[in-house]
Amino acid sequence: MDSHRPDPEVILDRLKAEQKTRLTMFLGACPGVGKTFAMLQSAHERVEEGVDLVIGWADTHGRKETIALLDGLEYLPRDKVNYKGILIEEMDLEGILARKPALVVVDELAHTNAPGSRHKRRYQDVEELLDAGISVYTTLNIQHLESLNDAVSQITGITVRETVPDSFIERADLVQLVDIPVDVLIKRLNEGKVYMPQLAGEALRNFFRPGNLNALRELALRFVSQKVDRELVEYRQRHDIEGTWPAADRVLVCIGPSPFGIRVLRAARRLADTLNAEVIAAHIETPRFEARQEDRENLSANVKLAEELGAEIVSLPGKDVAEAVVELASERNATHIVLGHPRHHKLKEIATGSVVDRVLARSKGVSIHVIPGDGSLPQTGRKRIRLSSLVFRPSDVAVILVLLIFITVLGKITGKFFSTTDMAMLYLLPVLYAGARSGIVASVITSVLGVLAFDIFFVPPYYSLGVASLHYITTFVVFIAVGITTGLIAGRLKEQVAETNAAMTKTSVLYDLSKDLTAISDMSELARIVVVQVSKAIGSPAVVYVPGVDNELDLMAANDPAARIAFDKNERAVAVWAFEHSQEAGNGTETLPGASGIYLPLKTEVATIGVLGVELSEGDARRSFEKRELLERITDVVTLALNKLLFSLAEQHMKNLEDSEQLVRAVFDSISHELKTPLSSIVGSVSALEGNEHVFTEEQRAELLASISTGATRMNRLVNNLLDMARLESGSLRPREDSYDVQDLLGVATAEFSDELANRKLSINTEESLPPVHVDFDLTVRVFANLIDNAIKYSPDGSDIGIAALSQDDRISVSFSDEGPGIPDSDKELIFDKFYRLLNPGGVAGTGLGLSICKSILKAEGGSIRVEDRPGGGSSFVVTLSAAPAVAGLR
Amino acid sequence: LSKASESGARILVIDDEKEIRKLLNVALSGHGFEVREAVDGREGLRRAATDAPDVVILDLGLPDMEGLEVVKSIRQWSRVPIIILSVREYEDQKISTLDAGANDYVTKPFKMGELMARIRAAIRGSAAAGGTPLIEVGDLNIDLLAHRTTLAGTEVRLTPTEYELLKQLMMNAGMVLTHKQLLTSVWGPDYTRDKQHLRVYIWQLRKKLESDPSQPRYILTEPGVGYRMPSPDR
Repeated sequence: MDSHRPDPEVILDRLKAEQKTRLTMFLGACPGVGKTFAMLQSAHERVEEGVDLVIGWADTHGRKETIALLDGLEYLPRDKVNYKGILIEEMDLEGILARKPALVVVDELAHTNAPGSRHKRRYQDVEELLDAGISVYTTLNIQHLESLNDAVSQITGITVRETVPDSFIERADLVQLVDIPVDVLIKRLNEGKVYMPQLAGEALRNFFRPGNLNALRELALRFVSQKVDRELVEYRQRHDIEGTWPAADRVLVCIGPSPFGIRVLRAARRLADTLNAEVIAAHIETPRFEARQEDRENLSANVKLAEELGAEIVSLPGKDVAEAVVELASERNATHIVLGHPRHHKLKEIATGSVVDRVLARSKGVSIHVIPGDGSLPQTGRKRIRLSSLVFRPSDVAVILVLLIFITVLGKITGKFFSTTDMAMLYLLPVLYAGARSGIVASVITSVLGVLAFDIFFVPPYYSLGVASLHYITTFVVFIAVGITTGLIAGRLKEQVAETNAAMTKTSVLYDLSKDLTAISDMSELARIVVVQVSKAIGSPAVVYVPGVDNELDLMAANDPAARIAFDKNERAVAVWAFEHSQEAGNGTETLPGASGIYLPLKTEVATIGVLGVELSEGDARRSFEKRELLERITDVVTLALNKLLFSLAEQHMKNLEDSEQLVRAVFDSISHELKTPLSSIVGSVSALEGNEHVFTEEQRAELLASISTGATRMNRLVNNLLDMARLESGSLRPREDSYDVQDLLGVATAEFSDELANRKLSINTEESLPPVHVDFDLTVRVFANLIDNAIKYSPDGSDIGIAALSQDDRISVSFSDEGPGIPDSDKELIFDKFYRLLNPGGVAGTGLGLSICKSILKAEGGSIRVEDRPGGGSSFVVTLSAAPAVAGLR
Repeated sequence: LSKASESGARILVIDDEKEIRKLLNVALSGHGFEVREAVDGREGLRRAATDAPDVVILDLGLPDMEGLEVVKSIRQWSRVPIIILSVREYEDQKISTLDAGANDYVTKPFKMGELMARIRAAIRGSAAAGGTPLIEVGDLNIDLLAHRTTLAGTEVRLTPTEYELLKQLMMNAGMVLTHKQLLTSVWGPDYTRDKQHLRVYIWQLRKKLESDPSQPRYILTEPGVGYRMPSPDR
């Protein structure tokens, strides 16, 4: 991509920048140049311009002039963080976000926050402020710039740990250099006006040597001028100014698992800054690259640093590093390749030439920069003997010793049965065993023991270490060599087996999880399975948070309720942060690392749908690269399952809505049908009679008139039912109870049905001396009428209907039996549900209200209703009512 | 009343409501019809086949089967006029049964006179099928042979489509024609969805035939269902 064409991304960025909040950085070469002073002066100017400005943090270090500048500025109170019993003052990030000023002053960008703060570093606080739309004024010393870190430590001999990533500095819209001449600075130092936390006394004086200061000033000036250069290029692009444009440079840097890669990366960044070039960090995955824990950790650290330095990360497979690098360089038009070159050659490279040599040999037209390695780095990796190979199990030691003794005794007892060579062979057995069981150390020790035993017992002169014949020496050497080789091979094999097992465990964990999560239809069940599986895989307690109805995060599941992550309020707050920001937080992350759990947001393409939390023990957090990786994979699986579940829940919800719509329609249809049928009889009969009286016979006229009255009664019953239902629903139905005879109630109820019952045989049997019932008269008649109506509707014309009443203790039961089809057992409870019949139509029209009204009325009266099979077919509805309390003297 | 053609006509009432059956039985026999009753679709189909009714009155809310099934079943072997008698809630079913071959509908609750008029129109319609080329409704005359339309003696000039549309309505005077039926018979089966098309032509016809198109006397709207030309005898 040539930079002389107006780049659409640049245009986009420009549009964003115009609305974006601004980060202004006051940059100094070293402490004491007056950055805070300059910043506060600018702050005053802004306030005078009417900008809503507050001070979030300012370090005055007790300088009077600086303190005086704080006057007239709004200073937010500091937050106090409790760390191991000591109260540490920190900037109140939450307070600033709540206050939401237009501009906030935050001194010391490179500051590291006290453990327990939300973010590890202050620049992350600033990032959050910028994201919240608050502009920031901040200060920074050049030594804290990530890519200049090495250069600074080479100049001054002091390693600065608090670095700020270059990618963050790139965000600064304005970098203002605060600079004073070196001699003035030294004078200020002598006046005690310079403060540097790490250094005091003589050390401080050493740091402030004119040479150092000049070098730092040069670094700072160069950095600013480079930034201005870049801004100029951007400006010209923004304003589409054509002209002579420098060819764009591209720096390719190789990253690998070497701890020394950090320096190579920083060098590449510096080079790129000078050239105003972009950086491509390439990681070549060679087949040789064994997935050693340490290598992977180093690699991921290097990749992370490359990201922080604003490099584009390219990961590609390749058989040969040199070849792949050259290919990539030509593909991407890289003009510079930066390579690290270790001080110590690998054995193999003596024959093939080092990567650097081969890249040099192959590349054309590309500048190659080689960064020499330095010996001071800790030697890690291959040379360290694994602790595990030094640990012997007692049982193995015993077996080896027994074997050695057994072979020695066997050889001695059998005399000349085994030749000397045979004996040497036999002694190899324990060596092989040791190698296979315990690795290199054990096999070497065993082979030495074997050689000694062989020498003493079977090599003349016997019982001494001397050897009669020189050719035994060869045997000894071969023996030891065999010991070493078996040990090495067995050890390597064991390692591979262990790694394969670990990989298999990981795969099986993911497989089990996704398998378990496939058929889940319930959120809490899903969360429960996730926490169980995750804690099994990671070996520590886990929790799942899911937003509830009010979008508040609810703890959905925890496999160990006693674990801190399950009950601690602070832990919950971390989970909430992770959820709201859709970023991981907590233990082992950059945000709120003081928490005991790590919280990973469960993100889909559209939204964050929950948080997975896992408690990590102290040591786990930093070194558990593998656990983190596994956790991320698990998170993916869980997110997938959760997403699927949410989708199906939404579907279910839609279906429920449809169902309820269907019910509403069914209710309306049935009520309209129930109302219009009697209305039709009335209107039809009346209109038939109107003006046509001569057409009909006396008998026909009577029938038409009866039809009118039946229709009116039926409508009345329905209207009553609807009103009752409305009253029951609103809770305003209050029975007025008194004592009544069941006979009376039945008489009134059956009178309504005189027409319908004309061709039915109705038998009413009441127990003699049946006590009165304590009920509401009208409501109970309504119940009886509904049951009689049902008995008529659901049984064939001409069949019998039976009503019987009998008392039992203080209860009186009244049964209504018909000879209809009866009610299947599965429906015996359900038919009392409102509208049940509408959803399960059985052929007879109705509103589906009658029985549910009966049930509700009886419940209000303290009675009950049930349905039984009538002996000989049909059904029998049994109503139970309370008997009226006996009145003295009457009974 | 032209009782001659109606007296003794046999009417089959298919309705699960006893009250309605009883009412229709009493009222229709009073007017000299012979009434047969069926309580559900199955019995209705059996009686339609064995009792040879002249008109079938069919309720749509039957317990055992959909009214549509009953209509389709009857139409497989009989052209007997079918009048749908139903409450408004069965609107969709009403249209589909009309499209399936039912001849007319009456909404519950109904006036007996209205039902009687529909029954008569249905009986006459089936008797006149393939009959006279001259149809007269009020002042409106149509001569199917001469392709000529007159309103109170004055010729009305119609486009071929307008004429075809009016012809369909006149030939079925007294009975409802659904949108689909009109579209199919005038424009062919491909146009059955274009109700807007039909509305435009009805509007044009009304402009030419009606003295007040907003209070039509000839082309009556059956809301949601279609159009109807009133009975010639009214």
